Amino acid sequence: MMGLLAWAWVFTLPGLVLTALGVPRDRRYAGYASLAGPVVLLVVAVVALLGGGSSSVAFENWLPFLPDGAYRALADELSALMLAILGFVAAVVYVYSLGYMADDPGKRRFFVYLDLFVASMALLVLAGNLAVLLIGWTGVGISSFLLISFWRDRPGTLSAGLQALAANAVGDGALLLAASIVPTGCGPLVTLSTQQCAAGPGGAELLALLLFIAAAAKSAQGPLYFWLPNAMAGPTPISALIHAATMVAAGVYVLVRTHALLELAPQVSLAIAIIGTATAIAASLASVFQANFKKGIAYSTIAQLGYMFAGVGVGAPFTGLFHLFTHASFKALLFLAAGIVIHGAGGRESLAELRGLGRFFAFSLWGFLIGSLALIGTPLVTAGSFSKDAIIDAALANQPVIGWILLLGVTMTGLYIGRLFGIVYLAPAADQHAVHHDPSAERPMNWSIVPLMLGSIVLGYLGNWLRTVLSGPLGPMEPLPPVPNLTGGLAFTLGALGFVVAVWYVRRPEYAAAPGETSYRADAWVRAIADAGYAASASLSRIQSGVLTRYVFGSVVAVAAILLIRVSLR
Amino acid sequence: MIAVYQAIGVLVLGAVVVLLLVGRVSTRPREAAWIGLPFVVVAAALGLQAPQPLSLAVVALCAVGGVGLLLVPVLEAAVPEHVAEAAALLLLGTAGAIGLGGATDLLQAVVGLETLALSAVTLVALGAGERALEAAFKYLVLGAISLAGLLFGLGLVILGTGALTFPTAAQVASNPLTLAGVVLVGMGIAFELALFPFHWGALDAYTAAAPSLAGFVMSASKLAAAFALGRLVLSAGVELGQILVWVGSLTIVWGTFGALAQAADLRRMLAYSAITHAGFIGLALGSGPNGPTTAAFYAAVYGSMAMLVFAALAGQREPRLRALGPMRAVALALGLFSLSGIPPTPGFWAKLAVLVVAWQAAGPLATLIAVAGGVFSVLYYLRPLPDLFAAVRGDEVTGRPVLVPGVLVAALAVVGLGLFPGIAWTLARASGS
Amino acid sequence: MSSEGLVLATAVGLFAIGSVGALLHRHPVAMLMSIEVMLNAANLLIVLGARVRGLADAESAALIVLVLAAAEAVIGLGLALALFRRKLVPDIDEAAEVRG
Repeated sequence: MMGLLAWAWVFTLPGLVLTALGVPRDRRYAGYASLAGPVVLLVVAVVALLGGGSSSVAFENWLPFLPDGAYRALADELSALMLAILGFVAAVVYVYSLGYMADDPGKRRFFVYLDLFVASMALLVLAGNLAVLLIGWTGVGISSFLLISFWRDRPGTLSAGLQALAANAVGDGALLLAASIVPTGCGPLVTLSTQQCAAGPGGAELLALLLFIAAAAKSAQGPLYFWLPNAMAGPTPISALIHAATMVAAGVYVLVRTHALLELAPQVSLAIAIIGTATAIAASLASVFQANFKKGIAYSTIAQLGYMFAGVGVGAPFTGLFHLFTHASFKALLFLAAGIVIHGAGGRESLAELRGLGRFFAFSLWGFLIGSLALIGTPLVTAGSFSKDAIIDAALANQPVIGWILLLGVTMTGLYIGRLFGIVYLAPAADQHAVHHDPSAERPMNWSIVPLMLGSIVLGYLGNWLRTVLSGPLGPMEPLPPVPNLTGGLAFTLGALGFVVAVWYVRRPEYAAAPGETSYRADAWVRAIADAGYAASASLSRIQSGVLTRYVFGSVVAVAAILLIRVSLR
Repeated sequence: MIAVYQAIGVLVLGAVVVLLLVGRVSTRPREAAWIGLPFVVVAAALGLQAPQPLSLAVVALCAVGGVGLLLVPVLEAAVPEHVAEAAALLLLGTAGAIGLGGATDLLQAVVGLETLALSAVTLVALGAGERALEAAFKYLVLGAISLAGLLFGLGLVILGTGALTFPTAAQVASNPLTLAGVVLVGMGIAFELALFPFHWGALDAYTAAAPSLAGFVMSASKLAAAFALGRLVLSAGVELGQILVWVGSLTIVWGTFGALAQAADLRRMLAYSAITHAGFIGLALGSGPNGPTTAAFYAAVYGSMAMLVFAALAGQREPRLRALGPMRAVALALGLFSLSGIPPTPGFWAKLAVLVVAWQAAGPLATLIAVAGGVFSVLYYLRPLPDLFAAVRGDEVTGRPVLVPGVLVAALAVVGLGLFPGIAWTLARASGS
Repeated sequence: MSSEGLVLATAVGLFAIGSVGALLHRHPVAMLMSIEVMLNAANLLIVLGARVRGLADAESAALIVLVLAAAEAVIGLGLALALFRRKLVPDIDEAAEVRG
């Protein structure tokens, strides 16, 4: 089955073609042709994961101008796990979207882009060398752009998409550079850490740094965070699939896949841990002040990714991966639950307008509650606790300062998610007529999040099994902390404290949600950089004045200069 | 080598035939294009018999010329009475380009260069309106000045080496006259390539030419110049190569910033993008012994992408994207993706190849500039996408089925090169040289 | 100064005069004339090279260059005429519509 899995990126392509060509004809059923793709992916991935083993595909000499010009795909337990996550969340999101996008005129286009995304993400996961990784990497970036700017009639969506492209470009550049500087014969990702490959100019540190920059761009860490909150301009199912569960996790995945290289570059590892932690704290703080429901959850994603990066950075890549696994489930759950309320409120996303409306949507309320509990790390009941404890434990063991910061940060986690839950679902009921129930749309939405609810409870128990299964690709790993344990209990206490305080605070009638920025305009510093760039371009373009004598002057002076410099330098 | 001369001869003959026959045998000028096509095919077949790197030059140039011919019937809409001249000029231009690209000594290079340049100028002038004339005149004047410089350099080389062949590194090192001459010759050919301090005229020319012809003007000049400069660099060594690295990097920066400012003008954005790609070619040329092969590969790939984009835009005096219709919109989108370097299009493979040689031989700064220029290009290439999606929905279509052959051929080339770049690479690699 | 040196000086001098003319003139025909001067100066250099080095190929090269220069002039004058047809005193700097 691993052999079949190595071609998994093909699975959604038939659906893409069929949906693009307009099959089925009836607009109500548009997109049904694409449903099979993620389901097949999920099934094959799970079977492959259970079966174990690995399979690789190689077509040598496909790109003869590269040091490693082969097409390489690698399907092993790690790929199977990632593809299973992708298939699971994608299947849920596809069904959810049938409801959410039911009345949208661009429904067909939406599913085409979704198929494109799933195919690219699968290729990214299956990539066996940097060249193929780049194809998947850029593919998910383009799909993300297309989906963020999906609604062209709404202001600001194109700008949000361009922000994502710009951040993505930085990451792409780093990865391109890595692909170009890798010495000959060092293609396969798994061998990046061998002696010969780490001996190129700059060594393992340079390669690791480039991979880190690429991962940070994809996962919105450090200064490259700016695009993710504004990516919420896209439809909510996309926020769940791409910007919570899968694409943003690609950064973590790449770092886990090349963890052996990171072991050779301790300074870069430390930087990863520090930046991850700093991002986690800063994003948690930022979430508390958000006025837009989705942006509040988006900052939570950034923070949790920060936790994953911290886990990888302190030398425990499995903990980062484990948290990726559980996070995919509960974060997607949070977004999709939020989407039900947003859809019912006619697309409004600001907390002020959504106050108290959540109570009219039972599935959404329970879904968001379970997701929140998982996020704080309620022990034994929810998945998030197992994985988050593992990260904090590993951090405390290897980099205690980071461990303590992460532990205390759980308080803020509770604070921000409690605030969101409290405002939308528990606050005194707003006008009942502000929501609009559409049973045919809500049915797929409500029932599609049930698997995610189950996953958010149950998946954490798979920790030890995963550890065994992944011992092939990841090598020997530290054991997971026993459940229950001291740090876990402490973390939960802090988180629960934050949650309760926040809920109490926002339920008071005199509380009004912060009247802040609810649009998706770029942050001021990002706009400043962009404006500077465009100003430089405009000046440059004015130099092309159209006046011939100036052109002649420029050319003559240039030739004279070149000649002089060249002849005098010999 | 004989095969190359035969190919050139066939093309010139074709030009003459086209000029003579049109108006006598056929009453519709659009058939001028179809009369010219067999000559191109024969020339390409002859080219396949030439030794390795030259065969890529001939075949690629014939392909570019062929697609150009396929687009000539669309030119009717713009300049109906000059269709025959356009077809003849395309053939002559291809001949000149082959002469330049396949040149083994400086004189051949000069003759080929001038034939190509003058054909290109006249083709630009054939676009409709004052703007095209103005751009053509400026392109001509700047070209003439660069020709003067090139000839002066030729004179210096003759004085220095006593022969017309490309000077070797030893000859360049031994005599400052030869070095100065080589630099001037290189800069003269670099004008054709549209590198930084010489791009002014080319930029305006690319913007104002008729879209059916602009693709040819851009692609043929870059292909031919890439091959010729490649041979020159291989022969003259690192002295010339260094200059190309600096100039190439500057060009990438200039072109990228210029393109970013062109939100309103698609043609101008494409012109700046052509400059940027020329910068990549220049950078590759200067990057050590593997550089010229990479540059040739890049130029061939660029030719296919540029022809695709302009084939899709052909027929519209001012680009109106929403009126393109679904087929041409998809073709244009594919072309833009490829220009921007999004895998798995051929544009991406070519950029990656340049990065590899640049890192090996041109130094980290040049490589960084190339990386930045490559990745940030998405910001300007993907701006037209929303309009293209509207076009795919078929909002304001006026169909022009005559375009299908040209667009189809170019699209097949792009897709084929994207999936199997090894073919072009192997052709670009000289067996021996 | 030897005769070769004289020719060399003449060629360089003519080239310089031509360049200055191309830089300063704004009348299109004057610009083209200056460019012709540059081209012929370069040609002179080629002839000199042929003479000094005894290279027959270079002499034929000089003749070919004459043809190229002539072709350039024809096209240039034709374009200048088409552009400035109606102007009594054409100024190349005024034709700056294509820019940016």
